[in-house]
Formats: sequence, structure tokens, C-alpha cells
Amino acid sequence: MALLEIEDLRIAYSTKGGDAFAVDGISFAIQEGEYLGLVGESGCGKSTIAKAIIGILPPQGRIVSGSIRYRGRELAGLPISELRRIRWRDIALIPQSAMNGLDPVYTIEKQMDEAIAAHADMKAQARHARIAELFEMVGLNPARLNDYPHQFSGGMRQRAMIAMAMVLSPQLVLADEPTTGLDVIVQDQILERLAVIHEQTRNAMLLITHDMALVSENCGRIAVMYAGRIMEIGGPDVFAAPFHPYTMGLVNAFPDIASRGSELIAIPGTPPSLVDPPSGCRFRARCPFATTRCAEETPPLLEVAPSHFAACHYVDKAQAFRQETRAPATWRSAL
Amino acid sequence: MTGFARYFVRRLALMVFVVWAILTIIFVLFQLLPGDPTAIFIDANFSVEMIERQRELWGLNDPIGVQYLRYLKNMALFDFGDSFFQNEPVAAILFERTINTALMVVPALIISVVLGTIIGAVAGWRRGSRFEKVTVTTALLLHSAPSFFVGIIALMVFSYELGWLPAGGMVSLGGPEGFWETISSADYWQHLLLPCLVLVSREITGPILLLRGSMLDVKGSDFIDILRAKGLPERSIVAHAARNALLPLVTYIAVMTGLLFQGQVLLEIIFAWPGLGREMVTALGDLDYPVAQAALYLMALVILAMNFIADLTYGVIDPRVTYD
Repeated sequence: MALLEIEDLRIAYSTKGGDAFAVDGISFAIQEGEYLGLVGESGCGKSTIAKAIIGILPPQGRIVSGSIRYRGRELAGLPISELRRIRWRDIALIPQSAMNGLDPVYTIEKQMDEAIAAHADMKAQARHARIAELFEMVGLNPARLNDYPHQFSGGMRQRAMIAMAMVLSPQLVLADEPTTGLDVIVQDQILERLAVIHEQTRNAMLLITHDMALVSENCGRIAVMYAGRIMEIGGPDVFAAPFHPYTMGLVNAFPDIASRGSELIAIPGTPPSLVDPPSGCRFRARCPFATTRCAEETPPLLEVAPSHFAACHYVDKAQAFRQETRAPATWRSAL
Repeated sequence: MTGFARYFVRRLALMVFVVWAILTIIFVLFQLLPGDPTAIFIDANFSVEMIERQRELWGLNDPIGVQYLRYLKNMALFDFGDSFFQNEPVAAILFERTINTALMVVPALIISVVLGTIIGAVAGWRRGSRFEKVTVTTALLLHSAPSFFVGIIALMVFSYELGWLPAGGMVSLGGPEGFWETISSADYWQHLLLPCLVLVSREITGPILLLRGSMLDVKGSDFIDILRAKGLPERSIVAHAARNALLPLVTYIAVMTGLLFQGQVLLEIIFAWPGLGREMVTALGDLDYPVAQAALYLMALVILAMNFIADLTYGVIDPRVTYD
């Protein structure tokens, strides 16, 4: 049994124009100890998935259908009292903005302490020892446990958030852009710490980011999302040998210092409206290879290689597409 | 010197400057007022020599600069002189009136802040609920109703029609005297009930609307989501939210207290409450200059003091505020 299984999940936000399906029929699984990287443009629904798993969708958002199972147990629609027990002890969250993820008028220690106290029957002294241990593990000085969040720099706050997420050794960590807004050195240190913790606890992680380098360095599996759907999912080959034109576009659009000479190619256009999504393939309006078939038929996720899936009608032409997408002219023709 | 001590001294120095500015404005205002105080105070049958002697005695013939400096000195020492009409020192009159105002305002203030905070916080937390809608509508209505109107209606209904409560005054004629005797008497509480409720009906709207707003702000913050994700019980999350939402209330209470002390002219007149506001209006009408200027001065001092306290309290309740 997988640690986390998401099946045909659909999540809608009520907006003035009608329901916007930020997540529209998504399925994936995370095995114990596995790192799954979820990439995609801003607004494609990545963060919504994390919020739905831990049950903190904003009031205007709701799970319309599908299921989220943790160790076989359905989380969607679970009573709050049951869900509360699973939160943080089994599934913890490193939020997108650690800047605002901490209560400004409570000390860091107090905020970590209440997380332990809510779930574990531990004496105050033992809790303090645990918190100090975690602080050291993420490279923070335990002498500063009694500081308030505003006394920490951005990087320190992010580390504190990670320490807080790890304080109960959860089996699944949802990391939503855990290093966004930090400089590369700090990013690197933080990921190193996460790797050390992973060595010790064998926790699984859903790493949500638009930083493809972060994903390819850390994740055994990669899922590419576009406009509420998964376009491609698989092992490291997703980036090395992509089958979906959108993944090819993403890879081209990502700066690579090693090959400084090559031109960055942006994908022209913007993602479609989620209130009134286009028929067929959601990417077709920006895809240089789109045909009438793409508008008529929604491409299913096809297995293109062992446990590597892509949602494109023309996966058999992927080899040729990969060549063509490296030429900027190809993308210009799409619009 | 620590940052706090430095801030304290600087803030105090600024306050002294503001007090001086206020005193100067009051002085100029009273110089500009029409009418000669001696003309009111002195009997028409006085001879010119007697008037002249009186003016000399009061120092009204001194150069204006000397008068100004003497005025500053007396005000700083809280030596307000004697009332023109009541044969009493101004300080004694105003002290009593201030206590009387406090006897009405302080209970109203406590009720308004405590109840208003709770109601506002609950309304903000339960956004979109029936409770929130009813609360906000009622608060806005009460907030915009003039207190003299509400006061008169309340008097008509509860005193004249129903006859449940006394129609005015602080105590009945021949009732209790002195501070402790007054506040421990049922008579005072009966007299207090109506003006106090009328005052609460308006003052409570401030904390309600403020807390609802700041609770809504806090509720939308990311850290509330995280508290939820941590699996904390709802009451812990509300406690976090309320602790954050209370911060703006401190300034508000300070300003509210200051305004309450000066702003009760209409209510004090309607309910014949022998307070500071009514005294000041009467004194101005009578050209009882010593009383009027001292009353103005005291009201300004209350507001300044409350703001000073608010500034200092901020550093205690919000760790982000430092005084460096």
C-alpha cells in the first residue's frame, strides 16, 4: 500500500465567474520514503493539492470529488477531530511563506512546543530537549529558541519552519516552495538538512516548486502539472527525456548555468482559464504541435516507458518534438 | 541608558512641549474672548477706584507677558485660582466634577471594552454567519445614532412612560454624599443605569467593529493555516488569533478614554449629571474663566496621558515593537 494515494481529485474554488477547478482530476501516489517533486507554473494548482491533503483549503475552496488516502485511510471528508490527530504527527507542512507562517507574538519555542503538546504525551522537559535537538539539526542555535519570529532572518525562519514540521517525525512532509525567496547558498544548506533528516527518518516528501533544479536534484519521482491536470509523471527521465511538449518547454525555459551559451526559450502565452477550461488538451493553445484532435479528445496519461506517463496524443513523436522544441522558432509558430 | 529609558524621556519631553503649546492656545483663546471678566464679577455699583484696585489685585494691569508667565506657572502647579461664581477653589470644583464624570464614564468604558471585544472577536471569527451580520448592522446603527437622541428616547421610555428609573441627576436629592457612600448606594446605581447604557450603546460599537476587522485580518494570515495544520484544537487557534487581533485595541482604548472624559457634554446635560463636561459649558456661558480654562486644560491632559500610556503599553504587548 502506498503511503499517500490521490485518486481523481477535483478541487473547485467558488469565484464570481463560477467554479474554478484548480485541481481537475489528478491521481498520483507517494510510496514510503519517496520524494515526489510536483512542478508547474504559478497558479496551476500545486499548492491547492497540499492544502487539500492537510485539510486547510480556504473557505471558498472545496473537494468536489475524488479521494485522498493516507495509509489507506480516506482523508477527504474525515471528521475534524480525526483529521486533527493525523495532522502534523503523520503529515506536516512546510508552507510557501515561512515569513508569515509563524505567529508574530509567540516565541518560536512556544509555537513548536504547542505542536508537540497537541499530539504527544511528553513532559515539558522532554519537549524542550526535542525542540532543541531539531533546532540544531536544521543548523539553528538553540539559545535563540525564545526569540520571536521577527528577530530571525528569512533563512532562519525557513529553518525554524522545517524544524517545526519535523518535530514529531512525520512520515509525510508537504513542502510547498520551501526555499522560495532564499539565496542559493541558504537554499542549498536547507536542502542538505532535509536530506540529513531524510536519512534518519526515511520520511516521504511532496516537494512543490517551480524550481526544476531542486526537483531533479532531490526527487526520485517527478510530476508536471498544467492548468489543474498532470501532464507527465515518472522518474528522473521526465526531465531527461520528456514526452510531453509542455515538459519540453519547461526544461528549455529553465536557466542552466553550465550551458551559458544556449538561449532561454520561454513558452509563449498564458495558462487557460480554470473557470471555463478549453476542451481536449489544456495545453493545446500554447503547443506548437497541436492538431484538431487535441481540441476534440482529452489525451489520457499513457505509459511511455516503465512507470513513466505522459498525457499527449503524440507521444510516439516525442523524439522529433524534443529536437524541434529546442529551436525558438518552433514556439513562435504556436501562437 | 536603555532604549526604553531613552524613549521614555524623549516621549516625556515631547509631552511637556505639547502641554505648553496647549496652554498657550488656551491663553490666547481666553484673551480673545469678548467681555471683561471684571464686568461680570464686579458689582455695577463698584466705584472706579474699587474696580481698579480689583484689577490690580488680579494682576490684570500687568503687561501681557507677565500675565502669561504667571499663568503658565500656576497651571503647571495646578493652582487654578478661585471660581468667579462659586465661592470655592477651581481645583476643588473640578476634582469633584471629574470624579462625577468618571462615575459615569468608567463603568461604561469597562462594559464597552470587555463586551465589545468579545462580541467583535466572535463576529470576526465567524465571518458570514448570521451572528456577524446582525452584530455589524446593529453596531453601525448604534454608532450613527446621536447620543442625545438615544438619551432622550431612553428617558421618555424608561423614566416618564414606564417610571422604572430616575429621570436625571447622579443621586436623589438628600441622597448619599462623598465618594464611597455614593458608589456603595443603590440610589447611585439606579441613576447610573440609564446614562451608562446610553453611553455603552454608542461606545461599544467601536471595539466591536475594530475587533471584527482585525480578527478578519488575522484570520486570513498564513500562520492561522499553519496552526490548523498543526492539529491544534479550535480554542488554541482562536486564542492565537485574538492575541494578535487585540493589538490595535490598545491605542483605541486610550483615545476612547480621553474622548469619553471630555465628550460627555450632551449626555451630562440630558441626564443632569454634575460632571466635567457640563461644568465646562456652564462656566463658558457664565464667563467663569478660571473654571473654563482649567477644565479645558484637564481634558487635554487626560488625552495626552492616555496616549502616553498607550505608546508604552505597545512595547509590552507586541514583541515587534522596540524602543531603540
